[in-house]
Amino acid sequence: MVKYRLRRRADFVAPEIPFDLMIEILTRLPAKSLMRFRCVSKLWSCLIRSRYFTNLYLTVSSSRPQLLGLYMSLISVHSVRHFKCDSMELCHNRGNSDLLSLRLSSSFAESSLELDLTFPGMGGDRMVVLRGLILYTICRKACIYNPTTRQSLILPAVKSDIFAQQEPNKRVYYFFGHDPIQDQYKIVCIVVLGSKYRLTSEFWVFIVEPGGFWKRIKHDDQAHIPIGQGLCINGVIYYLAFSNTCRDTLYCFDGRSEKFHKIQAPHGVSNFCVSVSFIEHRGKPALFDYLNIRETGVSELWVLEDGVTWSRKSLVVKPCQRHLVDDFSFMTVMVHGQNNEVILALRNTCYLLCYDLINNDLRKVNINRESPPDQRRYVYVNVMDTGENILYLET
Amino acid sequence: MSKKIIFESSEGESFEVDEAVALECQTIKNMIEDDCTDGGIPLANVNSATLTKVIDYCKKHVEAAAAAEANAGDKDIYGANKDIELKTWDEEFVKVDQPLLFDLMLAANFLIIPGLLDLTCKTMMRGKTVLQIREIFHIKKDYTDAEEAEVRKENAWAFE
Repeated sequence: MVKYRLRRRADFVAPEIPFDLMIEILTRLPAKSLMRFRCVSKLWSCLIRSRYFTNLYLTVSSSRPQLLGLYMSLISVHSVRHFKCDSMELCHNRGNSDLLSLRLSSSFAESSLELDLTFPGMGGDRMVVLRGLILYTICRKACIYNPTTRQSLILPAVKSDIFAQQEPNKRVYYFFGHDPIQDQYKIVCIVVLGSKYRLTSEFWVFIVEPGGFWKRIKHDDQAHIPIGQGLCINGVIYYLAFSNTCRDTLYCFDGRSEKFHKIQAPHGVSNFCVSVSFIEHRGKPALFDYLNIRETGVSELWVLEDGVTWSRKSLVVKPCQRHLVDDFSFMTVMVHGQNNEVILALRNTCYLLCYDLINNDLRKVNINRESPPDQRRYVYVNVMDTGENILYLET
Repeated sequence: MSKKIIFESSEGESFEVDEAVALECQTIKNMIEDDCTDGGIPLANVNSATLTKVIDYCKKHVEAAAAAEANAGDKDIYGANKDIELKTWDEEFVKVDQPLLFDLMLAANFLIIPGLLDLTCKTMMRGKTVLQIREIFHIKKDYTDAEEAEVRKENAWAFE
């Protein structure tokens, strides 16, 4: 009797745990533990890999209070070409490019961004962050990287007619979307050929799932060249573009119906290519126009309210914060936004500015890096997602 | 004077707590809203030792929340909780043996106390190996050695 009791104390065996509590426990674990616990049993492995659990984990991890995190893509002048490379095969000439992940060290006012991880060979100006996943381009191919599980996937090349042509000036653009209804991750590819007199473009879509393939989408509208990164809001991918006849237009691709349509840009907004950033503001696509921020402290925020009409709001930097924008010239600022904040990152400097668009508050955040920033590099900034996605990527 | 709520443990022991403390439990909150707490709330699956701990936890967190509200100006823009003291208290709170930790977790799940459920789940799983997990949760290994090695290889970084 005594012996039995002692045994029980020594190796405690828990009472039977209901399966739903088991799931509760697992959603609270760090992703690294989950990856390890796939070895526990086939059931656990199946559960952890399931879409149901993956989505639950993403929701739970997104709701935790988190400090600002950024991805900073550093690209040497030499390797910029690599990210816009025309090679049909992966050229392995990755040059000197790195993706850094930076996290705010604490929530106190005098906080700074600290280097967390470095991912060699990743990044680029067309990198997109969506639901904890990173999409970037190398040699015409779309690559998805999952920083939570450290898995990466290179999508097959698009079999584009344009690629087969002997013309120069071929460009490939990728956008990343997620359709919440069907719970599908979709990659949209736009291939553009710009000859002297006319533009030709092709549109393709790929569903990230086993057996996924590139499907060509018919789109009769005029050929156009996308500018910068797209946004995905509620299953719709938005991106800015220009064409031969129309300087600035907003396009959107509905992930469910797989149709494109065009939205007129507001009158009075600056040239997209120069000083306008495309951001998500309170769940809506918005244009942040910072053309005059240095001279007058004024910036404009245009929000697409109902898919058709634009609302306009002028923001004036507080007088006591005006000195912060003194170093700006619009050629040197990269802007990236999420919700109510835009990040203004000067190229080649050791700090960036976070501009709270709701409270009209600008603050400076230092970036701690061991080596001084390399002048020969391009710098691009993306805001990190708060959630962790343990999705297993397969095609 | 604030309203009192009476809990009854599985052993039949009564515990009187302030309503504010009881409100930390979502399950109890619903019962209070539905006005069905008269004559005490029997908690047939929570023993006295566990219930004492649960009440301690709720009391502490109600006090901490009241204190935080008193100096609300201290909160930073990210709303992150600067209360390191409470965190330390939590850590001390879960320095208990495995059976009690399990009971606390089950109680937190039943009474719906998100903070306590979070705390106990994390504490329970922290630093556990695959073998320990199988033991604790009575899970039989259904992988062959080769299959397990394969899964391990896929996530080699997680074992570093």
